[in-house]
Amino acid sequence: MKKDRVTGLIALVLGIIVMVMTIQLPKSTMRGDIGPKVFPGICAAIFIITGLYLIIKNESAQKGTDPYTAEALRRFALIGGVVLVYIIALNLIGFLVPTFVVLFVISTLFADGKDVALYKRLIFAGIVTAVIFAAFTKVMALPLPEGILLG
Amino acid sequence: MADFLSAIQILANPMCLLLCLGGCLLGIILGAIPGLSGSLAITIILPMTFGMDSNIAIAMLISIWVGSCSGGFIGAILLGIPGTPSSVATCYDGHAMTKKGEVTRALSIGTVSNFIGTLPSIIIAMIACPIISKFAVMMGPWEYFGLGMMAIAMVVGVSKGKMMKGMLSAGIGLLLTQVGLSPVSATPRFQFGTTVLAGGFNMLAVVVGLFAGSMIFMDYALNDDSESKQFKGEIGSFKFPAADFAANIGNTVRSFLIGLGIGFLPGMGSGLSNVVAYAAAKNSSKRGEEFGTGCPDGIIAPEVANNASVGGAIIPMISLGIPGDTTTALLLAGLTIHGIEAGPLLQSYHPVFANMIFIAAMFGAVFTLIVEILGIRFFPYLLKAPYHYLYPAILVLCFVGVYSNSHSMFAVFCAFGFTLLGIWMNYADIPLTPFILAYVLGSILESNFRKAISYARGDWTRFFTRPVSCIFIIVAVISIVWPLWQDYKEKKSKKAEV
Repeated sequence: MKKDRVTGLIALVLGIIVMVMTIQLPKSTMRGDIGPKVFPGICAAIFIITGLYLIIKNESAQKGTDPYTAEALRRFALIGGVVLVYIIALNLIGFLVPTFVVLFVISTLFADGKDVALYKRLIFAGIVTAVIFAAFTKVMALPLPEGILLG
Repeated sequence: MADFLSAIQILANPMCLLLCLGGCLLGIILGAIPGLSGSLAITIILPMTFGMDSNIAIAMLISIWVGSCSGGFIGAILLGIPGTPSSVATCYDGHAMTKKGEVTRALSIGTVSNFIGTLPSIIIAMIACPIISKFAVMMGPWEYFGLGMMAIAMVVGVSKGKMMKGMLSAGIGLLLTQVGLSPVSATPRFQFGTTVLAGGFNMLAVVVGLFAGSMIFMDYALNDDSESKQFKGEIGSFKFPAADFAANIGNTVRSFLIGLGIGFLPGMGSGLSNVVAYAAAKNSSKRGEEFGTGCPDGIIAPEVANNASVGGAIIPMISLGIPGDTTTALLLAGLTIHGIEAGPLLQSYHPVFANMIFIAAMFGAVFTLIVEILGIRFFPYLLKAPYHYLYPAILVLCFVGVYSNSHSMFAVFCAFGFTLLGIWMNYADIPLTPFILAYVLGSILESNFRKAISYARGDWTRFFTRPVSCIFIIVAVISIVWPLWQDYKEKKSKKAEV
């Protein structure tokens, strides 16, 4: 199935789900108010119409090579996994350690194939973690995650 | 006048000036680096401004915007790679001049063109905004709904060749504004039985995910090799290109007016104005055949036009609360996060603040000029950005910023979710601009629509019997129908040819 048709199908399914959920919304109790269903209904209609159009017309067929190769998907999964683990770790053990680790890991991922010494990446991770920590907590008095296990 | 002086007083403190200067510098740097942009610069800095005074924070964000609009020409001239879409046309002659060994002249022309485009356009905006606001306060919810609809429709309409995807993008943006308590009646919608979504999605989480997270993920996964091309050569000191500008007075004025006009229209902005100004300069020049071979006229036209769009875009943003493009939509989001509602009442209720925005933009233009004149020799270093340090730092800063803004890990998880949404939208070739415009304007549209129906006691025809509202709606419909009709005609003629 072509890419546009998949997009259309996703839009169509989303439109149907939004429509079903919209129908279940209560009416407004305010006199003269048209109610909270109209705009979600418009959204659902947009999804259904555009979805059907994309399925039928296949508006812009992909030209040239698709950059989303199997290798690209592997790399998406890798960086996505690293960031997701980072967010979970932020939630569990707070800012400092996960940030240092994730800066080092992502820097290593981006430095792949380049000659960037290990100590440079470690120093970078340490300095950025310290600067963000100091800037947020000391200078701007903004909170950073403390971690539910440590906080 | 008193408001104007008070605004200068607010900005004229060393810390504020320093932050504005830093903002300009950051804007120029991120604007110059291919792949990064002013939108990203604003997204990164926004969370750091929460602890600041609103005046200083907004002044800084405005400076970043002005700086980033200017920085795009550096990559265009040195490498032939535009830092931002607003400098696409600068590549043609700018890079050709570099190849001819006239890199210093090209950069000097670009620097002055930026300033000539930005400063007068902001002065015009400062004069025009109060006048437009006076008319705008007379508008009712019918007109506001029509105006918002027109802005979104115009953005969807310019998504050439993928209008349906533009509409889908606007639909997604609109849907996100439906989550949480509805305006007017406070009915819970799409909250899935939780209270965390009662206030809707955190705005910063949406912006960070779609504009920063997804961009960095894609850059890694799609292995964009932006570092491979490097400038090799010598750059001299800045030299005022008086002769070039003396020979281009007509070109400069025309490009300025094109930039100002296009910047004013929703969805167009500097990405379009630079190309239109370049084409207009080429078509009306006596030496049109020299364009593309390193002609100074070909740098002046796009660079004046794209920077004049700054003033053009400020006018609807401040006087009507309608953003013109992605960056102004993000700026408007920044204003909202700082508790300031842009629109016609801003001039009446917060005149000092409104003036402060214009003066900050003017300061930004001057700082940008100074930074670019003094830093001209360092421009090649901007293009050697170490992405392996830059991206991890931006990513962490953005996600941590979302937490600081919301005090909630749920918002950080949402930012991750919106990163995935941004990747999917890129994969499916769905443009982002209609999304952000619909997202920023969604709740305003809905509340005005419901108020309009309620005030008119259910009478829908009021949208068409009120002339201004009717005009807005007609323009909105034409914006959608006209490109579809053109597309249909094009396909039909192609079929006939075959």
